Amino acid sequence: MSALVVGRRPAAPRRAGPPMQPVAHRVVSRHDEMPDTVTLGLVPEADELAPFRPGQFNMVWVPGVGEIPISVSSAPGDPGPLLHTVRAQGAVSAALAARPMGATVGLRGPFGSDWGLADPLLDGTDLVFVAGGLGLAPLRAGLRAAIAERDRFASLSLLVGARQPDLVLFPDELDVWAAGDEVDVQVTVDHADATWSGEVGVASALVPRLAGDPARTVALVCGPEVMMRFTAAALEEWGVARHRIRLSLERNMKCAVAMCGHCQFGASFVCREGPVYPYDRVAELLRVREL
Amino acid sequence: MTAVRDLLGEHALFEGFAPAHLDLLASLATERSVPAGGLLFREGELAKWCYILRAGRLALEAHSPTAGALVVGTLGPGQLVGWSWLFPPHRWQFDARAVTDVEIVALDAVGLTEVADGDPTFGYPLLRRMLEMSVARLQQARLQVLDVYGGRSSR
Repeated sequence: MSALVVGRRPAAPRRAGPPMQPVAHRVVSRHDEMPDTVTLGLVPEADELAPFRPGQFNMVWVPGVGEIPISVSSAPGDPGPLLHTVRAQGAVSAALAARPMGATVGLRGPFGSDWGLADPLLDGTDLVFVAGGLGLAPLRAGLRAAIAERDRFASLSLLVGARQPDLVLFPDELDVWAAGDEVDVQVTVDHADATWSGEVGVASALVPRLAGDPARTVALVCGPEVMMRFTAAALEEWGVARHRIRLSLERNMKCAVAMCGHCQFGASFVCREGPVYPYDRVAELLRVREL
Repeated sequence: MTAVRDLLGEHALFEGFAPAHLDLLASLATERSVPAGGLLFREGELAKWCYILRAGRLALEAHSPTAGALVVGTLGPGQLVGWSWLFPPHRWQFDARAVTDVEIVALDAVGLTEVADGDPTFGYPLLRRMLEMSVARLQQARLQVLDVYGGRSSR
């Protein structure tokens, strides 16, 4: 059984300055994804952050309010600004989502492990992305990067779960992918009326309908933790080995450099060993409610 | 008939069944199609058939006077459409509408239950597998109503 390399510690940022010092970025684009969710395009005002890998996150600081971790939702090779998709849920995220064009925010990063797309052991695999709700944002970075190297993979599939049809993230991009022949896209929602022609049900119910070979599949999963647990179980039941399933976990983070302990998850820190973990490493920990 | 028999033999519900049982099932089966937008059955109608979806997508719907048709779930190839044929009052609980053109194998429910009742070597594994499928469907429905994408998660 070959071990896939994920959850590795990223290289230290190459920019000048300590990792706790935010680097000023300017908001140059805003795209309202949903009533409470916006994608911000950010460009550096002077210094640049080190290059990121899909699945990694930045700490985004709103001056005078606070700082939160946000995954990058664009791919490394994308033209244009660095994209972060944020839902206005708490004080910091609401302030961030409300930042107007031209406003300054501070970024630290990139931090954490990535989806591991550069791993040569992914060559020839059926690569499956399973996104729940806003979990599509960090997965989009990975999927865009995978599409850019489409020939490496036997197949690419994207399963998307959302609450209802008008709360599906990035619908225009999903339509483009669905219309092409590079990615098999299936979208399901929890609730819909009869005007919705897609699937209704949970994302994990789509797993048995995947066309690939479970033994050849690597699955990247991001969404609410309950959704990820059920999806990982469905993938395992379908025949995907635990070490070939990768989950992006979410925990309260403060320092992002494994010093403060806020994101401690068992013996690891999600900001450093995570957020992307192989399922075999965290499956039992996910059952521990105190974590 | 051979094609239907082969199809039934490959279905998870009847996997490993004896050839004689597959012959019996095939004798109870007919193939049907429903065009996109058409109804396979309506809520309240007598459930006289056990339907297995071969191709296409079906939506199970409940009708609301104020909201219209609400989709409670969709079904894809290989899935069993419902269990209302198995138990009294043998009435469908939802509408089943074809979202796309669908192809279906319909098994005569009366014949199927008679055989299952009379032959435990056929009926017990059949019911056990149906129970597995219904439990899986129930667990998915429970997750569906949890509203995991709601306000509690930043995802």
